[in-house]
Amino acid sequence: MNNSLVVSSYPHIRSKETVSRIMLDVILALVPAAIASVIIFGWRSLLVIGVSVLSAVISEALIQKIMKKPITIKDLSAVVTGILLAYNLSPAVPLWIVAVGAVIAIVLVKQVFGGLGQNFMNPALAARAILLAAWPVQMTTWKKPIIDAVANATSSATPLPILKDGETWAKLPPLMDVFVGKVGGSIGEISALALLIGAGYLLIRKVINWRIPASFIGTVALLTWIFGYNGLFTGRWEYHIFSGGLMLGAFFMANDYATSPVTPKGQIIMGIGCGVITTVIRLAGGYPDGVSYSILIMNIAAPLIERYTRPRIYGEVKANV
Amino acid sequence: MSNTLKIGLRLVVVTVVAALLLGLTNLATQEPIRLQRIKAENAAKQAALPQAETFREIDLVPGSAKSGESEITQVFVGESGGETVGYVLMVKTRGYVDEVELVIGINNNDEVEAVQISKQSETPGLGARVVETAFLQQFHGLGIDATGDATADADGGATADTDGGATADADSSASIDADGGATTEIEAETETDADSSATADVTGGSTADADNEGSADADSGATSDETGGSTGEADSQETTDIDSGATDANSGATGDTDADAGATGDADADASATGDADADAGATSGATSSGDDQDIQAISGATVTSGAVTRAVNFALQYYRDVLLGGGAK
Amino acid sequence: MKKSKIILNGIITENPTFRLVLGMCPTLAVTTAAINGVGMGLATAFVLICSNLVISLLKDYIPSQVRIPSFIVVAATFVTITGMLMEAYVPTLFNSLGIFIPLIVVNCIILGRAESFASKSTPMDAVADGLGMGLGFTISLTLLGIIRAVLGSGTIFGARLMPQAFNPAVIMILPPGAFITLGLLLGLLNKLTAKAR
Repeated sequence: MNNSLVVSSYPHIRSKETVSRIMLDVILALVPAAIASVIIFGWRSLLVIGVSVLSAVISEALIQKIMKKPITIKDLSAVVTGILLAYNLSPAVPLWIVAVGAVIAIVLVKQVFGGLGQNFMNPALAARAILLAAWPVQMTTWKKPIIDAVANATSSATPLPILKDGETWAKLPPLMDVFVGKVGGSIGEISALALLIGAGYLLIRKVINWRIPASFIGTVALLTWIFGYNGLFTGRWEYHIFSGGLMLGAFFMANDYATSPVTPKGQIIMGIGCGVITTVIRLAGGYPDGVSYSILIMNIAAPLIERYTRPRIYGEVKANV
Repeated sequence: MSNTLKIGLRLVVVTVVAALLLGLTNLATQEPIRLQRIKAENAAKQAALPQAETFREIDLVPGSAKSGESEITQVFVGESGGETVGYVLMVKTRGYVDEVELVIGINNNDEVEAVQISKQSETPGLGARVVETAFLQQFHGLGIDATGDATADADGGATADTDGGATADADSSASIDADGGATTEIEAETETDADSSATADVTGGSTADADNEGSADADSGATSDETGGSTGEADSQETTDIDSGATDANSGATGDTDADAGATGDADADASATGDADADAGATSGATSSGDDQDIQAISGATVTSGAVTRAVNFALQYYRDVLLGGGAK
Repeated sequence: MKKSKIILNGIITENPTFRLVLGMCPTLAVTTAAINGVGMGLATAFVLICSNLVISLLKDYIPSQVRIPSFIVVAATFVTITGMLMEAYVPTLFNSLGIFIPLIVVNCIILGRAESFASKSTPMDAVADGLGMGLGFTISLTLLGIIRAVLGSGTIFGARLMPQAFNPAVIMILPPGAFITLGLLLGLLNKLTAKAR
């Protein structure tokens, strides 16, 4: 297997990890969120996920055939991209948009730049950003949770816009609803609980480490608490960390191997950078959520971060600056 | 030294010749450009108030020419054969991207004759669609009596229209509020003092079909207009003295969109829903606003733009009523 | 050199947009519709022909130490004249091209051709080069405009092309759409020409 993943900076040790094994772990970790979504929004979320995965795999196979490269759909990376893309979409999104998004993610963002490991941005997030700019109306049509639909009529609005506008704080759904996912939002990002279960699995399997997620979420919590709507240290950080795409982004997308730094210090910087940008967009920007944009921006910065946090070779003398 | 002088002189010659050429062109095109600009301005005024043949500028009343983002920059009296046939107000407001300039014509019946957008640089395909006739047409016939003070908020209606060339138009006596359900929802969410109770349902979207259930004093002027095959309904119910602003938005499976909105108040509601040709768009728009209006605003700018335009028109009407009719300036 | 060869050089071999990658500002900014591409391209072509001719005529008169300011003065004069003439006689086009008319002055194609071609060639060759480069620029801009307008608003030269059911991708007429389209076109052309060689 010549494409065993390099997931850290040197020194290295040979292991049995392969791309498909890691991808399989990620897929397993994403399953709880899919189940939560089906419970919350009904079978349509599963349909969106299915269309997304299928389109991603087919377009990967086709583009590799056209570009006369070995077909690598068996490594499951296209499946992960498909799932992540679907998780970033509304369950009410038209299916053709899902398919177009999967093609953009695989062809435009991943394969054109050289395929797995060569993409400079997270394919699923880049595709989502393009879709959002292309079809803003369809992309922001949300679906109300099917459970508790009658009892809690106001919860169709996602909590983030409410948080932005301090006057309507009374309308915030109970924190427990936000944590479990009984609010409107994208398929995979609503249930922090389900995502945390999956993330725990990945941490135990050592597929991901704690650095990026912890520094990302920690920064958002700290900053949203400090810069509250009603003055310093009044922010509703507990809502901020469980709403929007933060959990999904921090655990499943910001630490994508190809687009995040491999050095430990670099990963902390990446997480803090994501957190700062997310908070700025959430509190002061025009968009309700900034998780996806923050990750994309930090993706671009990743090579630079790596360059400045490269570990010294043993015995190397620090260069005079 | 003499070499430097020579170089300098040659540069001077080049620039002087260039300046001469520019001067000559300016001389030749000055008049056509001036006429062109006047023509463009007159064309906008003429479109806003077709009855008028000539326009005479009158002074503004400084204190009342500005309200929020809307500012009246110029007021003209439209005349035809020496008779006053209406007024044209130039209004500046802030859209999503940049300033939007409107030309608003008000006729002798104290109604809006037409609204023209003379300048905008909103997002293409979204906010920029405020220039479309389907959107601007809605203002035609908007009167000061019907509008009253409550008029000032009709963002929602505007939104749905801009986004989808929307359809059902539930028009309460309080404002030009509400469209395709979706809209009303936004309204209801933000404005608790809206003066009517309108519930609108848009499902699937090609038709609009209006229904008015009200108490004795409600004016049921429901109009309906069918286009295409799918269904849609706009129901308006007059409610008295209920002060909740219960809002609810559902969007079902792909094609189906449900939006319920209840703004409340005590006035007599006169609901009329009009279906528009562009019915499938209606579905989209319903869907859009039904979920999360914040998102639409942020991304498309359409809500912001159309809201600003609507507020500007209402402000112009208010200025017309208070200042021009009130004798503030003649 | 034969005139036809010079013209073809500007259109294909050294196409300013796809080969020299010059004048990116107007290329990216105005190509939201095909008609804007045509208008901007032709206006640039006019300025390019005029400035190439004048610079070629003046090449012995202008001292090399001050050639850059002189070239800019020549180009700016023609741009301003073009702008005034357009506003006076074709106001619709003037309105849609807006601030990009004055920007023709800083279009690198103008200065680039003045420096690298017109100041070393005979007047007739310079005119041919201006024509070729101008047409090459016009064709490229129109192509970009067509692609972006078809995908971004479903129209071609203002006429509806795509069926009603087609949902235009707004991103294509926004700035990111310009970069994506240009990048893909450049890549495609490189691929095609690499094969041809």
